[in-house]
Amino acid sequence: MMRKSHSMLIVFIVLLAPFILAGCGEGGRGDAAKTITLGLSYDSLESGWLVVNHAAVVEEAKKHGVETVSVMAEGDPSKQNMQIENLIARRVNAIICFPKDSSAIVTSIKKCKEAGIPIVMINRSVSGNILPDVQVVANNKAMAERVLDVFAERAKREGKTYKLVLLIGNLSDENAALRKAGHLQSITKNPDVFKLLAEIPTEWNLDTALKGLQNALQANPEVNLIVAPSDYLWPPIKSVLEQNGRWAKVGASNHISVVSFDGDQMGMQFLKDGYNEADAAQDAKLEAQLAVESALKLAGGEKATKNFTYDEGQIVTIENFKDVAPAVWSYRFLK
Amino acid sequence: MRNILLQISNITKSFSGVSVLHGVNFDLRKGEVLGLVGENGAGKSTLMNIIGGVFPMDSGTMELAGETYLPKNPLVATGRGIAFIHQDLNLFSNLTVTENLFIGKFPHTALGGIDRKKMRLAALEYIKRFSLPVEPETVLGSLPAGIQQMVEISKSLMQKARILIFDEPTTSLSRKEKEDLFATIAELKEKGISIIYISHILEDIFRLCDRITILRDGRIIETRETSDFTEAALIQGMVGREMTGVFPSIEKEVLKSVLLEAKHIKWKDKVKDVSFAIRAGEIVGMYGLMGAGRTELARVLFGVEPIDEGEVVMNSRSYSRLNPGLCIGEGAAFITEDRHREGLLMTKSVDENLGLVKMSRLLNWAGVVDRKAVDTFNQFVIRNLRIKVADSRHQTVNALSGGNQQKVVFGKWTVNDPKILILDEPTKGVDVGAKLEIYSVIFNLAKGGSAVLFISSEIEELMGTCDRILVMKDGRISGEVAKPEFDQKRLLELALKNDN
Amino acid sequence: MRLAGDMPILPLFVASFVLAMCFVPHFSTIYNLRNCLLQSADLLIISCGLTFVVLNGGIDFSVTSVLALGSVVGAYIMALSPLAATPAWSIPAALAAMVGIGLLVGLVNGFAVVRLKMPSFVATLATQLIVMGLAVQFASKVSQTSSISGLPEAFFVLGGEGKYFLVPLLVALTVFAVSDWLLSRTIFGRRVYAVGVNPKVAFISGIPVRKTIVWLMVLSGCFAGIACIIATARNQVGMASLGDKLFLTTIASVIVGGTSTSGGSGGVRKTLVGVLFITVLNNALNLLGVGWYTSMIVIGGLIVLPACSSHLLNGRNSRR
Repeated sequence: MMRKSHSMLIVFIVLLAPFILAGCGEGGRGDAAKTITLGLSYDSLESGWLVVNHAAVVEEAKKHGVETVSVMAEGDPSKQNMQIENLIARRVNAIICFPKDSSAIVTSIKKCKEAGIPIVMINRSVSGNILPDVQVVANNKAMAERVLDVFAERAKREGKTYKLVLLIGNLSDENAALRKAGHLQSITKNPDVFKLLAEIPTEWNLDTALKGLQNALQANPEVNLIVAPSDYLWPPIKSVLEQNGRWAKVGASNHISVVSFDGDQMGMQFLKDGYNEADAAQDAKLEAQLAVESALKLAGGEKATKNFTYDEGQIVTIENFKDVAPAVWSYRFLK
Repeated sequence: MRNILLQISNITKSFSGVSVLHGVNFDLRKGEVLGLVGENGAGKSTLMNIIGGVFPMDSGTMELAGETYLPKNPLVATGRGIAFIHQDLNLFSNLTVTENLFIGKFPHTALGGIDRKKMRLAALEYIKRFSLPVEPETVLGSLPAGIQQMVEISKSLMQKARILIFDEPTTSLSRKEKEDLFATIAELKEKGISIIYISHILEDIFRLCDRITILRDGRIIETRETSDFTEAALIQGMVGREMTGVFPSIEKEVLKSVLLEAKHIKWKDKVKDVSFAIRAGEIVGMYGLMGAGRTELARVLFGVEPIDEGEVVMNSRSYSRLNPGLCIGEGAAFITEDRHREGLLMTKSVDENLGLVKMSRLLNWAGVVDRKAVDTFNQFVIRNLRIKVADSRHQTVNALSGGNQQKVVFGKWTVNDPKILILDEPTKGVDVGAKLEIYSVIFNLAKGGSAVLFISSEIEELMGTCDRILVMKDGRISGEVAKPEFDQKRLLELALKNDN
Repeated sequence: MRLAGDMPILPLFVASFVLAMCFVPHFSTIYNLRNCLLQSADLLIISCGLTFVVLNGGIDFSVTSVLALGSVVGAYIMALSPLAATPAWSIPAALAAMVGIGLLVGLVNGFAVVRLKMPSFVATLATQLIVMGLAVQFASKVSQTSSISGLPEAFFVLGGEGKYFLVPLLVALTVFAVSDWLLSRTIFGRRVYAVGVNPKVAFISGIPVRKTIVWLMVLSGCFAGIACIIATARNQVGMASLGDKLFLTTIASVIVGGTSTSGGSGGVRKTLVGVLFITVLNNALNLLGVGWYTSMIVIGGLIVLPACSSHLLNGRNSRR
């Protein structure tokens, strides 16, 4: 009997060591936060954009003398909800959230409201009746329109016309819908430059995109411009163009123009190398700044005047690459 | 000292306080075939296991070729030249002949892998040497039993065996294969290899052996040249004990109604054609040697194994398909041979085990187990059967003595007031005091009008409790002996009888 | 009530709870304690179901996939189907569907184990994959988004929203009470234990072994269905990813609680303590900012605990 309880005791102490250690560390800063703390609930840090954005949020917060606490949901919406519950329990002053699922996050928004803790959505928006206090998103529609406008201007100068196919993301994703609208707006505005031959739905699925694009090129061999709503779709684009022998840089006779969105590593690299001609880059650092600013304002008691705060992004082209590219978040990853 | 190869002196061995070998002495000469005979439980296997290094003896000495022999494990025994050809062959039926021959002694390549080429060549050599009608790559399981046995013998010889122990080697062999085996044994003898041959087929013993040793109740009764024995004398030696058992004397009557009847039951090739009938109040014994098929019969009667052919009639209702639930419904009970694996939930309490069979008699209005009724009943059973346990709710059965455990098994079946009892070795591993108590229980059940089938390997026990005794051999009833004619020798004869 | 001897985990749980209360910031707030309890509700329900199966020496991997399929089907009924217009009809229909799916999956598992003689490990792994696949396919067919939203407000009551926070707890406690009653007071319970210790003995004693096993699987599936209701109501959307990573926590709760995987010993009371312990631990680790992977290491280590303690105990007791 003695021995049994002895060994249990040892196991027990080993197990609870982390509690005690952590508790001692945190002991000083118990409740009633003297320093302001922001809770950061992110889906994951899987993409380069998220890595840069998250780091920027933390840095921005530090600049304001504010602490941050980060939790990652690793692709599980119900875990994200649970983590936000815990953030609320820790009495953070405000929450900045990159949701895995825009619908599933609604219940967390409700909880934040109940607890009186402001919540700011970043990059992915939520629609419906229950909205977060502030949503910091890229101005998808305006940016999509602008990137094609810029492209159109150059086309007019060079006297070229373009027959294009338009790739479309998953339409239940707000971002994809807005980008499509923006693209179409520009196309309608510049009828002398653009002629739309086909729309290709991709559902944000690479395989669907591959097949759709392949079919479209075969049906319309005279296409000389592909408009993409995200750099995410580069792999199937490259693959299809390679298969058709049209993967070539600007200036080559078989080059086909591509305009994309996002400004991630792949898109920017291809832009630098000459395969891509224009990219509308989401500004990870700016969104971080805007989010932190809004969060702090809300935590201080101010009410939000408008629900959406826009990141207007940067339009990067081959021409302005040297000037504009360095400001884009993915620039440092380029070769 | 005519060339004694193995000398065994004063071996004793006990298991859990029960003495199994009481000072066994015998010797084995070089180049002789020594027959070893004895009833079930006489101690033959234990003795052979000690020689083969499977477990150590408690006291005594062994000498092999003049040197002390104390094998720590079977590997040592094999190393010293002792090989066992078991009844259920010690081979791997899913591996090839070659792999079986070299099990445990695979030749290695320089890198440490198995040198298959070398193995194959060596195997071919052995196959030629022993004229085995096999290919090296044949899967062992596909060969007939006789050939498998030859492979096993070859394996032993490959390991330079000087002594071969055969344990009931002919049970799975055809007549021709048996003859081949005997020829092989003759050859081995000529090569100077000694053989211990265990069998209960007396005819074969007489044919093969130079000397015969009789083992009874853990003692060597006598060892003589074969020519000095008659079959009758052999049998007398195997059973001729003084009857010292005490049995209860309880008056009871055998009634007219037949409660349990078996009609031409057949199951695989273990039960070939068995018919009998047991009346209310009757205790019918069933004797036989190992492998006779008694346990298999019992399992078929209770629906644990399916009936291949035939019918079981309980309470005048006839069944060709049975399961335990049905039998319990007919008021039958089955006490299995192995209570550890099939009779008790060893890690559970006495109370839980007692309640196993039919709790539906102890439900209250809500269909829920009535705790109070359960407790009352359990206490009653414990008192009645005199089960020695302090706290039946929490005491697990694996801590009880063998006798008490068996009483718990009885206890759980008596919930149902069983009118038909099938008992398979009900006093195995039970001490003398508890045995007597169990006999009383059986008697009282019979007195209350139950029909009892009492399977046992202890002749004395059967003679002391039964109204008549059936003897089973090779899946059939070879004979029946009524109470007035009870005789040990007669029963053993029936169990050993050859069918022509 | 001899608790401590039976449940080595109980003092451990109490101690860690006390430590958490004292040392982990924000743990002792009403808000957090309330969360803790709510978070444990669906875990408790699934774990009770799983306990039955583990008592039998088996395992049921498919419970978490029932959550996924039930969630999307139920959400579909309440938000997208023709019934959606009348919550008075759609909610009961959805509830029935969720439990029904659990029941069906349980039946399939039972059939596979009993008739096809598949070990429960293999059978339930197979059902897990199939049901998951069905969930994902169904979700993608009926909705563009990865989750189905627009569920009726009344449904959220079951998730413990606002003043209804007691509801999931009551459901969980009811399930627990029913399980405990089944195991300790009914014949079914006795049979479950008997079959778990030694199916041969159970068979010879007249217990309908096959029927019992099927019932176990069905119970496990149904309980998963009930847990699905609570979890879906809490997240307020139907998701094919519901329950994705839950299995580890579930089996950990059962094992840490003390129910033996070899069958025949343990019970839902032990599982209850196991669930509470793991929930408290998870919550505390979360509040301390310990990452997901580190928590997994801690929980994985915990599973070793009961094995160790039973080894220590058996060292004294072994009498075979």
